[in-house]
Amino acid sequence: MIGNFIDGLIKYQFLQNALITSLLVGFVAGIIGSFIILRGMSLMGDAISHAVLPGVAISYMFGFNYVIGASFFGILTAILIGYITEKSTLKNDTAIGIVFSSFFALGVILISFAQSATDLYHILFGNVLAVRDSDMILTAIVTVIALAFILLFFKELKLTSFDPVMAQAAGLPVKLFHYALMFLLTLVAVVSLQTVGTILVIAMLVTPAATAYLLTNNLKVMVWLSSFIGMLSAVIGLFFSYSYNLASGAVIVLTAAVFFIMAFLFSPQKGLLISGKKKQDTEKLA
Amino acid sequence: MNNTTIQVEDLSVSYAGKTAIRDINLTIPSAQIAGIIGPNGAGKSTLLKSVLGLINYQGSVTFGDNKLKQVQKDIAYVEQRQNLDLNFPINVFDTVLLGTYPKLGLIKRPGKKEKQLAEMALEAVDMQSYSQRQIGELSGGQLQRVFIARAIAQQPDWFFLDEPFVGIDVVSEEVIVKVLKKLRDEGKSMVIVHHDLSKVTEYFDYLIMLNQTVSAAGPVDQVFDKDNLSSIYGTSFADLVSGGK
Repeated sequence: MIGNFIDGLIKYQFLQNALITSLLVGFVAGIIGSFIILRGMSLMGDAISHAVLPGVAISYMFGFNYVIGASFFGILTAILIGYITEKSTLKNDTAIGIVFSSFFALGVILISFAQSATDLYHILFGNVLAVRDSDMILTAIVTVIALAFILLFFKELKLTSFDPVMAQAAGLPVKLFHYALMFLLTLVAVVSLQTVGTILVIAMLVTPAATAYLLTNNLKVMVWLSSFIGMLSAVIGLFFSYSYNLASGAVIVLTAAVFFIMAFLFSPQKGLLISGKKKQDTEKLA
Repeated sequence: MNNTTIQVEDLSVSYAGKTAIRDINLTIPSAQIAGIIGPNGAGKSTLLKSVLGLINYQGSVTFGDNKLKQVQKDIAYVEQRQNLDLNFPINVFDTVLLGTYPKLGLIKRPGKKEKQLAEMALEAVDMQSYSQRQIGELSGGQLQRVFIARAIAQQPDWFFLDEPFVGIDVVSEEVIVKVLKKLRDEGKSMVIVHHDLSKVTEYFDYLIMLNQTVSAAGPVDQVFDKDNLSSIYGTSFADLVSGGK
């Protein structure tokens, strides 16, 4: 079966594209996702990945690159959510719920004008086996941008994620980093459309990062581990998707979920079973 | 900017139409430990945050001849009840190292010099043996010492501390007070929001007595008396505290 997969990889360009793209998506979602979960912005990630839909639809309609439309709506979502939270007494999660569901609904309607129903299905659930060269290159570019940003500003991201008040008091442009991260999140959401689809992008951002979070107490290790788990999930998921003809996004996400469950139960420091055992030991001592 | 004072002129802050503090005029001296006292809701934290530019205000705040923006890197701020995620993947040493980031500037990474600063700051608060611990494993007092160390590692001219002694153990309080006094003697300036009146004369050189407006401000021995206390806390309470002094 694995031989089959490798044969396919050698023979078919579409499978090579799929593998490279899903590896890149696993990697980039893993690093961005680490900061997303530490900043308590998982819901925001979900919101943006859904809210890019009208941007994609409008881009198809007018024939320009869908990255432009999607980025526009991604950033618009982040700004609107911030604006509603600031100008009303509503809580942040409520503002997120209102904005992203509205944009998503708008997107569904616009897509029905722009494209046929099958395309909507692919946007929602991804179809990594249909990745074109241009999509793959785009994913690579986004990965390079995100990686450069994280490497250059790791120090600032660490400080603004951990203690935004201190960062602000010391004169760091905290808001700028917030929106820069939102922009990257949007880019990642857009390139993930092909591999896992709009609905499951959040899983690629959050699940590997959460798994890594359970396994280490060091931010740097967490970021790299998260991207490694993301890539591993992508490869394993792609393999099962190809071999059994299953929806690629769903299988990749389930693979990541299996890694998470293992970390949740068996992590040396934070695992449920392990710390349960530790607790028993200390109780015995007492 | 040492030896320069902070000038606060006609400062007012209101939240959603309600006045928190108004008509504040102050000169906060440098190289002294200045305390801000007042009852709950007097606007002590609000005053601190507006001087630091963390909230919007009317009026003006200047640091000598400079605006806040020009001296921001020389200011360290330790928040009241840190609203932080104590499960963040960071240990004690790295937390203190964060203090060196503002002066490093963008992109540049902390090197040997910064690590040494962090090391020394940890020693100053007697926490060096906890260097590799996760911050979530510390007690309230130890955690506060770490945040003071982080402020020290920032090498600021001004320290702004909001209720630094709330909910911490006696040993930690002693360690912190000792190191603050030492820094003061080296010429650093401090502004501390405080509510325990029993320690006022012991801790502070200068005192700002606040209840929405400033009732009195000056050297502790000149302003910390029954009249001024009753003007911010009410007469009966002042009697209780000053014990008929």
